[in-house]
Amino acid sequence: MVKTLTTVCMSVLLCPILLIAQNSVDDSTLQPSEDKGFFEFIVGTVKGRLAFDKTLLIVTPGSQVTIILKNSDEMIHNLLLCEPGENVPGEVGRLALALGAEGMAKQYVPDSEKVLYHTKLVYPGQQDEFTFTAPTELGDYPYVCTFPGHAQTMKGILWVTDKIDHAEREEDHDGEELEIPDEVKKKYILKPKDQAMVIRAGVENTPSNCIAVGLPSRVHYVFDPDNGQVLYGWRGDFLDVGPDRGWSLDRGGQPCHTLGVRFSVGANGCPFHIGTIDQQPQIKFIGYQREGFPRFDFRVDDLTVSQTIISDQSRHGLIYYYEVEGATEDLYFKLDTSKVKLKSDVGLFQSGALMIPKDKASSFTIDVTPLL
Amino acid sequence: MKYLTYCFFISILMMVRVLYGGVVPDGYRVETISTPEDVFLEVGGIGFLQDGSVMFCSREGQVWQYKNKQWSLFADGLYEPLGLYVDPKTDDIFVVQRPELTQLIDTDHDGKADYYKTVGQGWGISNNYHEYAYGPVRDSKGNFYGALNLGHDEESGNLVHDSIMNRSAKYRGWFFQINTTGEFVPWASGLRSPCGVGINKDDELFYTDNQGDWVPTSTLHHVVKGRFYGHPASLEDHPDFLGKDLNAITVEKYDTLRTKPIVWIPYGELANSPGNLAFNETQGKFGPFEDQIFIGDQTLANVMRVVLEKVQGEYQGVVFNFVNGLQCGVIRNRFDKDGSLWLGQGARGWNSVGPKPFGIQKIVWDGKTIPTEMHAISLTDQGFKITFTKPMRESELKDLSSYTIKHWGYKYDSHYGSDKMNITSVDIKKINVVNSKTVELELPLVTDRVYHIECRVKADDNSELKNRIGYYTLNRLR
Repeated sequence: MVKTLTTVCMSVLLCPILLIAQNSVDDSTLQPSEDKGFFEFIVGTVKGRLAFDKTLLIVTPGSQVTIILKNSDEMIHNLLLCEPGENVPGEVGRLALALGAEGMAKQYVPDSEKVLYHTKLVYPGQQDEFTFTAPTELGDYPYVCTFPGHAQTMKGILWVTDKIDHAEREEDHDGEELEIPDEVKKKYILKPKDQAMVIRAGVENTPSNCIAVGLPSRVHYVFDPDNGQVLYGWRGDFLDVGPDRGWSLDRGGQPCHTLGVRFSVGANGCPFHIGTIDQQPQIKFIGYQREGFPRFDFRVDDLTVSQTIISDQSRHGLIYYYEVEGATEDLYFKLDTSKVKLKSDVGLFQSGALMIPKDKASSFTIDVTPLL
Repeated sequence: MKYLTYCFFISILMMVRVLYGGVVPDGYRVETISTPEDVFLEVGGIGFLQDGSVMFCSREGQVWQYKNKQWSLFADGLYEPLGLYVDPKTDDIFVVQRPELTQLIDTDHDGKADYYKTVGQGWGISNNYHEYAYGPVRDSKGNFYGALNLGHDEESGNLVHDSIMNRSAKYRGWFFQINTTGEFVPWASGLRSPCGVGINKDDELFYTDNQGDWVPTSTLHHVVKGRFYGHPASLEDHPDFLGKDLNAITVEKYDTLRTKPIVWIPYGELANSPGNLAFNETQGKFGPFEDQIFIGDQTLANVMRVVLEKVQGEYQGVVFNFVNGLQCGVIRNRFDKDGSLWLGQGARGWNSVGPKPFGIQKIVWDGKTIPTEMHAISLTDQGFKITFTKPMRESELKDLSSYTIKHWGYKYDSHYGSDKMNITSVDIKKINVVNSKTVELELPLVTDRVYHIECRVKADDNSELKNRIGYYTLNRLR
């Protein structure tokens, strides 16, 4: 056990050196077969996607090769090295599946001459490895995970070659399977045309429970329903939702990117205070109206507040149109005035806050312009 | 070049090929529904309007309406909704999104939701991809229920005893209620990846969990308020465990605290990632399996059939395969009023054994053909009773060689899954043929075991059983 651990630790430490040097390194625990060299590869799993993180391993014929499968995913995987053949991974995958009830016990390794070497099933957080002498016959030896369903996407190639220069193939292959092509990425860039887009999704550097709104004016914002406030705005394209949708390929669920330059709207918690300037109200979100400029409805203590947010193309900044039901006291509307300039059709500014008399609270407009 | 590779990648995913199985009981057929063009419609939920429309929510955040074979977009911009509920009386449409339970309202009746009303919330999300929210089901009093997945993010939460999944935000790993005043009520704890929620006509609640840490194989649970179902991460939000070091509690102790599943679903054989429960309350429109439960699987692209019974006051029961070889993994299923079982499919990020990345199919009974199946397996004082859907050959019913029976257990700990422990073959002591559709097998009974009961008896009409194995979870003896 101790020896195994030591070997694993050393392997992990040695790996970067080996990958760069790709030739023999003196080490008492690993003996190269004659002078053909040895190679060691740590093949991991890509987070959120059924794919190996290395899809091309290059070795020389007759060398000693160790492949370590290191599973950082949340499900079970294995790695089977197979005989050459474009259709072999699919074929081996199908044979593994046909093991049916016996699959787990057999590590999903089918009885097939096409399978050369394999790991056992590797559970999340675990690793397994195998060492072998590389074939003397040059060619592409595919490797694949044969856990049910995985063979479709989880595979790579061990290239046995005597060529000295691998640059061309490496370049051709580099990350090809793992990177999302630009043409596909484009499909997930949202650009509002003639109507607003309202997208509930995680957005980078933004609390998770937020609502992103894209307007045809190309001025967009994020609304924070927990505090009844706009968090920030930005100008440009709207949102890249690819990371959340996984480009129709992986698990997704990663934060979306706002496309453009963000500007402050002086967000500082719920802007409303009832009766006194420092009062801290309870906010309860009610919902939003999608048509036209979106409207957000929420409770501020006993008040029902509706906020319609308007923008125009000519400038940064947003206009908030509020309707308030149930005001029995004066309201104070406060934003961070070191970041924004406020203008309103009602009320007076008192100690940095806008005081809205209760008799004028039923509807009013506040114009928020960021200070540059 | 990259684009070509991507297309190739996608085309592999879409390639039509039959991988295995293709079991469909006699009298049933599988129909495939064309989904709207250029839409990645991975189904997260299914519901039916009174006019016959079918509503589907998708993982990409849309809700599509399917009416008279035409598709229209009803709502969009939702946060990975994985469940949809339509009120059968009012046609009100609800979805569970990651952060909340939402009602989608079409105030101007133009066929598109224009008001997105927050009905209930109260749990946390931290932007970890695994923080799925499932549901909603609704009881006869109007309360909603759902379940919350744990996170998979070692940076944002405690990994109890080196678990894989964790409580990355508030109430992850809980079953919850949203009551009729919109209040969030934590209902039960210890869930891991509870992709399937269900409720029967008696308002009894159930969920399925996916194999993983603390879940030795996939499971079906009966949910009772206050109970703990095994994954300790959720206990961080449990009032009895506030401030306690969950790592200081031993696995043995957790084992005594948990309520065990009512059905173990063997991994790799029947399911790897089960979805929601559909209760066959169709009054015979779906064949001879009234009141039985149907559950799809996201990985193995099959639908299972579960029959429960109460023993010593608690549910336990048997699970069979029903249909397999479907075009894609099934995460949602629901019966329509004609008694057809609609299947919502999608497997992005995990792959299924089916050839398609998403889709919609439905299983339809022809209304007359009785399939050749074990109708149920139930526990007796001294063994099991198998009932069949039709008369079987008596000579084979009483023949010992018609049956293969074994049992095994599972190991409960923080590791991912468990092997079958101590697989033990069982000799039948005595066979009692009650009638041509019922046989009793007398054999030794051991609790905390899954009994694999294989039956190879042919029917009087010469047909063979399409599904020969039942897996009975023996928690309690009669």
